[in-house]
Amino acid sequence: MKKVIVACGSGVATSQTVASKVARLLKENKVNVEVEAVDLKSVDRYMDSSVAYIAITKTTKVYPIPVINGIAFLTGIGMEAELKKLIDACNQ
Amino acid sequence: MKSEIFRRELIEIDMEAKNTDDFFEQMAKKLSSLHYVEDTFEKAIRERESKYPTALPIQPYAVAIPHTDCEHIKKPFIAPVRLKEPVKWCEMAANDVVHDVRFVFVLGIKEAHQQVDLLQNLVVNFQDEGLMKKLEQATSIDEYEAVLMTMKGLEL
Repeated sequence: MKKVIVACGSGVATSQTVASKVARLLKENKVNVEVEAVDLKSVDRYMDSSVAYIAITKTTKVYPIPVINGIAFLTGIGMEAELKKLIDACNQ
Repeated sequence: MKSEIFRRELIEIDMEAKNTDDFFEQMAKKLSSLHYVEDTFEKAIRERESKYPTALPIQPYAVAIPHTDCEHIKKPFIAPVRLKEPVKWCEMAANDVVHDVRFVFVLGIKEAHQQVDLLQNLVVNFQDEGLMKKLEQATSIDEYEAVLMTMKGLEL
């Protein structure tokens, strides 16, 4: 199954919350992709195995996969746009 | 029960703080004296906030959700605080963007996966302008607590 990763500063609150919400939204949209909350330090290791990276921290690097703004899933602001971006990445 | 999530003894309205450091110092003292956190909490929350800020840019009321890693927490909690005057708070994932924040919910998460649903529902409630306005207008801890109890989706 394809995978998307979510990472935040400490892995205790926001990444889990966003991962859970995104998983539900993807399911509602019939997109069959695994969502995993990972440690920020290990994000690079998931590049080969993931189709998108949902970031909840400031990203300064350029990643080989689409980077989605995870904050949108916490605030609701711009969420529809980020969800579409995510679904497009999943359907590549 | 919702009342178990929002610890009444941790609710503060019209708290005075000059900046986030001042806020964390006051909260850490209170949380420590009530045995919610370890002595390492204050330093941890300040460091984490400076690296990974927690203000959510919700309109019209920005909300901050500062928290630390689990090892600094003794008992899980959410401390709902309304600041008397807004404090400058940096935005999550947009560290240079600063917001005037009056509503802070300090999250004491003991186990990473525990409060996922709760947090999801909490942020949905933060987007409810009517509810946030009521929090803004509450004139007592009883009133503040009563509004918090109307938050949707927090039944455990």
